[in-house]
Amino acid sequence: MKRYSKKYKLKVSSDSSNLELIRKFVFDVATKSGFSIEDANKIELAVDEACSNVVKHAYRGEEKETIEIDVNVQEDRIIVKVKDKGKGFNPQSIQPPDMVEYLKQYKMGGLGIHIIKSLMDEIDFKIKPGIKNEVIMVKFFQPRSEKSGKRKTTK
Amino acid sequence: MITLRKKRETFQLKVPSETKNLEIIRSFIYRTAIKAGFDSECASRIELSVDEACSNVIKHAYQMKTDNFIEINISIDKEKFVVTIIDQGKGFNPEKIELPDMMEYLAELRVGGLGIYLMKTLMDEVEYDIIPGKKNIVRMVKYFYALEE
Repeated sequence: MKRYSKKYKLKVSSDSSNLELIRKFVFDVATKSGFSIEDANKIELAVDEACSNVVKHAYRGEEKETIEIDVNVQEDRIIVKVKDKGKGFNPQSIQPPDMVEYLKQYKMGGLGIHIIKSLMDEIDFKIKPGIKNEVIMVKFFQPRSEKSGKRKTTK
Repeated sequence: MITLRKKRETFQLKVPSETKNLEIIRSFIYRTAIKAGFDSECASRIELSVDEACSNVIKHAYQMKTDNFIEINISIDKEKFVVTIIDQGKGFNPEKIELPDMMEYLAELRVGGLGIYLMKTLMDEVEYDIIPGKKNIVRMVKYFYALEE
């Protein structure tokens, strides 16, 4: 049997004014695929963070480059890939933030990857600086702990 | 109304050929048109026109088969907003499509079939490039000059 897979793609220039288009696209695809509004908002925010990173860091504000967002909806999950051809980064060099220190310094931003990790079920990186960088984010339709357990816990 | 437009900007959207995705397409077109500087009335016209073209692709070119794709490209420059809709479906002969006799149309209480007529009314230019089964392209243009009048 052929595996259920529906593919969507959006390609825009790396201009922060296009983040709204990206957010709406991701939200629409997620809700049409069966995610709740709450989960669709989480996916939208995660993708927004990943794309903001591309605009700010990978392309350093250069607006003429391209961001590609590939969405693949499968039976049990949504996979969103954010692709760029920018500078890239070393995912291992990103340390979990010390929130006390963070708040003390009144720093803005820089929490992107940690936000993504808390919003999605899986996150992965494929970094080839200047050639192709990919941030791959996965969210399952049901939390996996619930899916694997035989009983739903009742409150 | 003065809008500062960059030299040229392109956008691309690709979705499976399903009617439920028309909403995604419409929202993409409307927002891009607003961003380009059109007012909401004009953006709605472009949105409706693209919706008609994509409905035709789903219904006729792909005959409701949902495992195909619709590709929408937008190219914006200083003077115009160009939308191209690409499919790999059945295609049609644009010369065979006659403008409807509206009196007769209404007398017969027909529904649908006005797509191309509608697009021509809503946009400044509509043209086709049909290679059945390989690639069909509908190209629609809306100029910005109307805004400055």
